[in-house]
Amino acid sequence: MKTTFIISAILGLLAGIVWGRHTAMEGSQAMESGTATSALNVTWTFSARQFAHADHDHAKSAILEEVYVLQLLERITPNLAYRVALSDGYARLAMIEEYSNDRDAAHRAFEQARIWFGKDHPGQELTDDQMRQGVQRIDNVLDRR
Amino acid sequence: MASVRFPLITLFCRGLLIFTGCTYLGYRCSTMVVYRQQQRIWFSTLDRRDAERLRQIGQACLAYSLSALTIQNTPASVHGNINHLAKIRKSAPPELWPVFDLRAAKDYAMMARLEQRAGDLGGAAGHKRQAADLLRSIGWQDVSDDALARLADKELESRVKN
Repeated sequence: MKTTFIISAILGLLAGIVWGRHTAMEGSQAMESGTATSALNVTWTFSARQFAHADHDHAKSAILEEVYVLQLLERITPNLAYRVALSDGYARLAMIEEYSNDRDAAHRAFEQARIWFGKDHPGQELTDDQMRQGVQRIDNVLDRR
Repeated sequence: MASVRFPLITLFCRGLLIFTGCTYLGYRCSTMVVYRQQQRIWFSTLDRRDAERLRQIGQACLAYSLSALTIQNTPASVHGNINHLAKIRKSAPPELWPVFDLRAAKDYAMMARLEQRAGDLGGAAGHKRQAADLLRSIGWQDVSDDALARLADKELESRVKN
């Protein structure tokens, strides 16, 4: 009788471990992808809204937070979506610095935007004006959503 | 006794009970271990502080997105979302609080619009005030009645509420 119970326990544990491992692997992949997508979507949308409606200080802090989160996500799993959003985020930051008349900071932010854009478009360099227009186009799309 | 009369059935039932219990135990332990291991692998390129912060931000954003998915254009649903978001906000990192405040402001503006349409002008005025206060706290410059109405209408028309 004891042997039967021990065998049942061992088989049960093994089945549980295999089943749990499979579930956790699938679940954690879905969780990672869901977490990263929401972090990108939430921080990017929020900073774009703040850029359009809030004062410079609040808009700037939203963009800095977005840039921080996106850079961490890009370090974990490099992805075109993060790099595009980073380029957009830095362009917005540059425009805010321009409104605040901090030309050096604006120049540095536009440079960063160019660097992130250039990672996926080697040889193409956007001008400051093109980046401003890009931000405007994105805001128009967001406004219609 | 039944166990004496049907020894094989009793043995089988006990064995099955032990098997089920151990399966559950193995399942719980292995999901926990594998999940933690996967999290460590995922965040391995970051230092501990950044990894922890990103984990908290990611979880709060995921909860926020899932909550936003369930909003319907009814006062009960919008009110439920406000309460649910308040709970998530409490455990979210402070740098994300403005994100939750903006969502709550949109929800209050939507409530005000729905109440206005239903003829409850008192309730609408109260919720409009709450929306305006929240928007002001996150730096919004135009919190006039017209701006709030536009915001509410856009949210009510939009299928994606984020």
